[in-house]
Amino acid sequence: MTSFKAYFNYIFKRSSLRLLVTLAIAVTVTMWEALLAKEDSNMQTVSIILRLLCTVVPPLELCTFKNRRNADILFSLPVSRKKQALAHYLNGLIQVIVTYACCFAAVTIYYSLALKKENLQYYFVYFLLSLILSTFIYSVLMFAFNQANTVIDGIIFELLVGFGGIWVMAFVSVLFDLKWKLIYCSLYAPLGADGLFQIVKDNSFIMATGGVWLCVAWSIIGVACLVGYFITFDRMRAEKIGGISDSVFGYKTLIPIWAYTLLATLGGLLCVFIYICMLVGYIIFRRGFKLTKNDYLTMLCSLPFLVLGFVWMY
Amino acid sequence: MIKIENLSYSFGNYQALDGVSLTLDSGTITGLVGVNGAGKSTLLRLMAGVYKADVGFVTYDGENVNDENTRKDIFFLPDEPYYTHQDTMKSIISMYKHFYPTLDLNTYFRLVKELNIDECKPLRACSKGMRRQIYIALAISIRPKYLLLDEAFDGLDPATRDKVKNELINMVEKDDTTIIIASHSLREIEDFCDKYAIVDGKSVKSSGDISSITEECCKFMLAFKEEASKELFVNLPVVNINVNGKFVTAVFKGEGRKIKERLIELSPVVLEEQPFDFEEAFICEVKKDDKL
Repeated sequence: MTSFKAYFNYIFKRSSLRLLVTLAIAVTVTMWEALLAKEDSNMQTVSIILRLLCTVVPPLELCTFKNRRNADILFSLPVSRKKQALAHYLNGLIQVIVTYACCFAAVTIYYSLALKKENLQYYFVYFLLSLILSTFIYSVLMFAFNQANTVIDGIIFELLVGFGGIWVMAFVSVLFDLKWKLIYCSLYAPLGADGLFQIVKDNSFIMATGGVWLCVAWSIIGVACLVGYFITFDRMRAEKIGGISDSVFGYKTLIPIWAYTLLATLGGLLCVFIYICMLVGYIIFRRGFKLTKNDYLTMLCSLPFLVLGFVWMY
Repeated sequence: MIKIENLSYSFGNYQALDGVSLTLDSGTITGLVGVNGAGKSTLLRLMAGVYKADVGFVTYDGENVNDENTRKDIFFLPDEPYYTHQDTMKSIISMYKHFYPTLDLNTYFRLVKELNIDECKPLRACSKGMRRQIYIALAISIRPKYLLLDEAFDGLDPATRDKVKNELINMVEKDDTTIIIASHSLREIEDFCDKYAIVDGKSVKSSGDISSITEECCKFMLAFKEEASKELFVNLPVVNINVNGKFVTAVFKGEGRKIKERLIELSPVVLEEQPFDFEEAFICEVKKDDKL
């Protein structure tokens, strides 16, 4: 048996109970909602479950690597880090896809049999497209979680990336809307009920403003995060596990991106609150009140964005 | 044979190891010793592939430690071994069975029986010593070619310690296993190991046979009529000296018989050679650079 197969078998067996429990809960919730709604609800619940799975699975897959004691054994096993990274990525993806597919199938069967709905072909188009999009989201969140050295930091990174949005996407959206202003763009937004499903249902995907370019941007970001996940996993320094999460793609970048963008868009109204949040962010990052020169410098560099916010506002 | 070549590793700005080179022969038991924070565990982790060296490399029979096939021959037992909240002895065995096909279950269950371990108990409910026994039993059952142990006997009772030592010695004799053990218990190292390596902050300060380091030096207790001083011994190869009024205890480098002849010339009232053990040899080595 190859080392990858051995490792994958091991983690798959270990997580099989988790998969069954998740599956049971997800299908029950989905069907409960479908039975209560008694009409097509744009797959809203299924889409929420998919987004939740993409967020919850990365910490469940990678939390064993956020404990120093575990790292000693796991990194000394006769299997390379790249193979470990791949095994956890695939195992997590299987959990997401299997749970989502079962929920989707249950709802679709219910719609076609109980509600006698016809012309459900766009459901399948949506299913395939949502799978591709969720794989990108999952890749981005695996990368984000892997930048942390503790589980808590990992979850914070996921939330900052997930809800902070992919800012490159925001720029792309801005370019196509021809509004030279940063807009909020959640990582999960395309999977929302008014997002992909509506576009597929109305057959307006190609016509959607910049739809193709958005897809290209999503693909690039997803693939870049996937590659980044493998590289950073391979270069993970075992002695840092459990310590401060000082990755360049962690707090160091996420705090200024959040703060600067918010200052530029909402700064005029909430600048004091944003600065307090920024300070709290650095205190969480450094695990104390002793901030570094770079932290203060980053806060100082936010001033032009604050001015920009005021200029746009008035 | 394990070859460590110019190995360096740093934790941020702190240089933990700097240019460590060491060669360990197959079928030997080497004790890795050093003061707290000297880098013993770091060196073991580099040897196990847990850390990736900044500079230099570790090879096992010429193969790099980062190679998967090489790792199949290595088993690393850290000072705090891995287990999750729900892990039992059986789940741990199933994990290792995936990666080490050489794991001999008969040996494992024999050892577990001998060590009176309850195999159904979750690991979280076991004492530190019991958990260590389980992992040592696992290490012995895997029969790796290279066994890296960090504070392996810590938390074991004397009877279990003896059993474990006998099993390990048996492995070395039967399978030509190479064992490297990092420990603070120098008496244990002296009893159990045939080789030693003193890790001193950045490099391996001294290494070789344990018997030779204790034979290289000798220890004498002297008493004089008058107050003694260190100046009396300036012409002698003193390694370590302790003067207390008329009484002197000193360690000298060289053969005991020859040193005794030279000490007689100082006309002490009492001159007595005392046993010189590995612990004292270690202290002398470390004191050379005033590390203690």
